[in-house]
Amino acid sequence: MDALYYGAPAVLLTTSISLALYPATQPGIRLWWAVLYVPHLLLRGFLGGLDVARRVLDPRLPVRPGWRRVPLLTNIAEVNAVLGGVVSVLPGSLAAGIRNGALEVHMLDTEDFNLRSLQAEERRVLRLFGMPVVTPRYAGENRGRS
Amino acid sequence: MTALADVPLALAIPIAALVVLGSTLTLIGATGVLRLQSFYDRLHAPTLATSWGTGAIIIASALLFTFIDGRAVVHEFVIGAFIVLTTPVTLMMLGRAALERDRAEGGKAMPEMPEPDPSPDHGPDRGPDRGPNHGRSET
Repeated sequence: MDALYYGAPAVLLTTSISLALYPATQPGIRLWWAVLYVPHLLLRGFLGGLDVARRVLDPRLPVRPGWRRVPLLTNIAEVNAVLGGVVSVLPGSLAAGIRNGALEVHMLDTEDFNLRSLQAEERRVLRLFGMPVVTPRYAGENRGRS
Repeated sequence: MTALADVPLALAIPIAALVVLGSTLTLIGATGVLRLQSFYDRLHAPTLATSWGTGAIIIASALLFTFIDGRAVVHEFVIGAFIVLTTPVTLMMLGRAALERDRAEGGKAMPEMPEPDPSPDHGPDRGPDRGPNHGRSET
């Protein structure tokens, strides 16, 4: 019962700060979809982690780092912020921001870059927000080098 | 220590395996920071520790203390959620800051990235009634 003296004000304060920073009128995620999405993310994270671990432990250090641009389906900042987080939490890829409608992604091995896979991830994030999923605007990939 | 001695072998083995797995992944992540060459490359290595490195240790901790306390102890998962949520944001901020710095300095380290093909269609948008953030595209 004593915990309520501390817990209740903390919950109220946290909720107030959260609503002030991100009002309820802003796009929100669908909880049931998030419950379905998290296991998928954990599995991909685990498999990606094993791949990065293999490369790091290999004496030849088989990495071909570089940058890739992923054209985005939407310009909704919240969706793209979550997509950037998803890309970055997966070992081997790191989103560094958005420029001219494309996500700038640093790959530990550019040969492993899979545009379709990342676009599929974007569509999952769009569904997470309950947004309509549209077909990709760009057919090919744009390549750069580190 | 008495409580730990009471943990049955069938539970102790998976707990130990998870702790070893988590700590091994964390160690490999640290090794990656040492072995990889550039700043951007090194940003990839910590994700090993903060994804399944942390996850395995958290699951092991939850299993152990659930057995010892005799009730569901799951607050470790809140710690894990915070780590998983905050780490990519931190890495993105670091990567973005480095990218902006490289672009501003225009040095050899500046990555070359061709612009995507222009297209008037920009997918689902906020629309005119979605508030002042309309058209905001930068994360």
